[in-house]
Amino acid sequence: MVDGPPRPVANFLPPVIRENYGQWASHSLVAPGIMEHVSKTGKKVYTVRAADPPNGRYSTGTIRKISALARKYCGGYMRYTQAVNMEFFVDSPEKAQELKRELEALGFPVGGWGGHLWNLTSCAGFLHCALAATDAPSVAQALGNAMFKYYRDEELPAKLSMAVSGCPSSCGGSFLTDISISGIHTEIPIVLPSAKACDLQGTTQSCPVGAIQLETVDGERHIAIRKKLCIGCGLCLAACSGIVFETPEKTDGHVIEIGGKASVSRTGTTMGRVVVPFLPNDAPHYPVTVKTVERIVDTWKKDAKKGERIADWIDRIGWEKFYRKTKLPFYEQSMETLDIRGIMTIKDSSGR
Amino acid sequence: MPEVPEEVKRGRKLVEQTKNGPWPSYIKESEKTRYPLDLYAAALDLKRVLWTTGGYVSVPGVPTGILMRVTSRPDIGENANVVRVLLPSGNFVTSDMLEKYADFADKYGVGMLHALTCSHNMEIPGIPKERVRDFATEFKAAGFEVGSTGDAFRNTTVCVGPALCEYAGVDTLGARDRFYDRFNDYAKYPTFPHKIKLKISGCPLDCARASQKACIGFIGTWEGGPDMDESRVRALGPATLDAITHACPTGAIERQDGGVTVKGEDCIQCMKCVRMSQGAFSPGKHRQIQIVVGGKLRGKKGPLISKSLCRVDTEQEAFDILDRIVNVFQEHSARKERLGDTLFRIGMKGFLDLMGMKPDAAMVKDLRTNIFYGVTDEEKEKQPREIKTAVGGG
Repeated sequence: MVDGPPRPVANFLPPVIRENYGQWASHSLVAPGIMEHVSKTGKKVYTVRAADPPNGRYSTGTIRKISALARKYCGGYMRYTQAVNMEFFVDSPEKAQELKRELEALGFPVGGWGGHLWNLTSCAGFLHCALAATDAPSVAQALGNAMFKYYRDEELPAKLSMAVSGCPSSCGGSFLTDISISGIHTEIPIVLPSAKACDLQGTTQSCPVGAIQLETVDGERHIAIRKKLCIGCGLCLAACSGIVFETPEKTDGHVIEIGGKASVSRTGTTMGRVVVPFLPNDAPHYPVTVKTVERIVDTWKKDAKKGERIADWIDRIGWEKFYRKTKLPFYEQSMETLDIRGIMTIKDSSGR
Repeated sequence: MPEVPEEVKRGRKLVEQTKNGPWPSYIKESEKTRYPLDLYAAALDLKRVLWTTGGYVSVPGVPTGILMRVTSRPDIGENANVVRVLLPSGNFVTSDMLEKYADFADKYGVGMLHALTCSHNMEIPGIPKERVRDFATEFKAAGFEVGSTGDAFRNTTVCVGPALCEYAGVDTLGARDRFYDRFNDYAKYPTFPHKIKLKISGCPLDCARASQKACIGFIGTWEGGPDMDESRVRALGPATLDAITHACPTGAIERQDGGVTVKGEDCIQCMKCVRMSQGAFSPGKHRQIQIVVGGKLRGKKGPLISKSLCRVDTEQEAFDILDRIVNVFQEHSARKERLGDTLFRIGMKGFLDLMGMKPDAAMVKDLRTNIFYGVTDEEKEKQPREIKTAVGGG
């Protein structure tokens, strides 16, 4: 019986990494998706990185095939990275190429490192989430298919990370990536009679703007939503299953944000900015979303200097030039707001 | 044979179309499992989620780790809970381990593994409520652990650190192990106002997103200038050295006949020279841990980037401060309020008062512009005196 995750970590490290722990001297990309790490002891390890399906869903059969590959090439060790890639560690470039061929035959392309498109991260969306406004996995799938050439073959000015989240909670990690898609709700939720059974304190406190209040009708306490204050964030839905959106099929959609990154290099840590405020959920191919993302990436690729990520590029040219160069229309929702209520403008314009 | 609803028929066509393309397909994987794909197909056609949250579930011996999912269309698909599983530090897994997880997913779940969530847990979907206890008992007996849901310390994610990266100033993987050695109760029992997260990055490049996604972040850094291997620096050649000198944002690096000089006091540890020099520059010898607080994506005030709190020299001190932050969070945050939201509400000054810490110029990105603040009598007397001492005026 253990308490906490399996540890110590040394038990799970491949021998070559255990022996050279903290001894690494340099790294370089030897082929798309294959990184060479050189230790101070002269020991070399080749890391092979492969993409996973959107939202990282595998059948157990595929997991067994992957673990068999890890056993065949890397002594039964592997790891998952920050962006949910699979990584395998082998001792020669030849073995790395061989492993690459086997992985790609299984359907997992090797790449996504350096100046390429990195693995797409996505939340569960309609697969398993109760709050999603947009089905993130199918958006990620459509983007991955359309942008695949950048994953391995064509080079970009710098790293391009993309994430898709189904709602503003941003579980997929949008806001933080170069191009991120986030689902949004644009209506005010309604309260069903079953909301009586909810935890009233938790529900009222879940609201960021204090829009949820309690009413007493005929001696019974009800949850009520002040329409003027509501920003449609959907956080109360997580606290109370009696609160729902009435017509999400009409009002839910997604936004495109660009220019987020975690690294402190160049312009430093930034959050993504809204460039396209609302696009419809037209599954399964999301043609407008994909074309818009392609336009942004193509313009960035043509215009950016080597090493400039999207945030650095925009920092240099400014937003006005960004809109001029991409020929995207600019809408009021993209204006900077000091108030979280800024996202209400979509509803205002539709007369709600 | 009950009739298949129209939305499922239409949805199946949509699902079919997502399968063509070079990117790995989650639908192809899901089809090999017993996951209720019809429910997903119908959701895609109806453009609305067909799951609702099932509230909290209390299973003895499993305080955290279960996410309830209730279907809103029982005629299409059944209820399916998700159980979260903790992985070793850095998500290093072994084939044996993966195969055992797969066995559990076959036996208790729908034969599907959600290999990695964005907070680096593994999830086993589709375990019925009445089997969760059996699952957890057997799972723990096999040496594994469930967790990372509810109002507790969520999974601590770390960058790959010294396992593969030459930049790492902190033993991130070991630090996560030691975090669970010392604070496992925080992670196991949901005793907090809201979820709280720790993320640990080995260097200021912050691959673990400690400054954006974590309530408390540890970021490896160093005091003074970068370490420099004189001969390797010279071997870089004038073009690269010029580029590095030009890239240094504070001008701490200057060219000097064939090599460079570094003014340590001007260095802001931005990693630019380290990244550009293929190992000739490396993080400085005097390693430190920068502690940042209040980052988050979800919650009341929307996404917030964290604020710098302090720097410490050892992991032990960092954990001590973490303990103090957790106490402040427990006592002063409102229910369902993330630490970042508390900071937003009470301000950094209020937080420092609760922590018993003094404000410092290293904590701010910019200074205030308005001049509407109070100055107490004591401060009116003390501040001019201190300034007088500092500038040496008469």
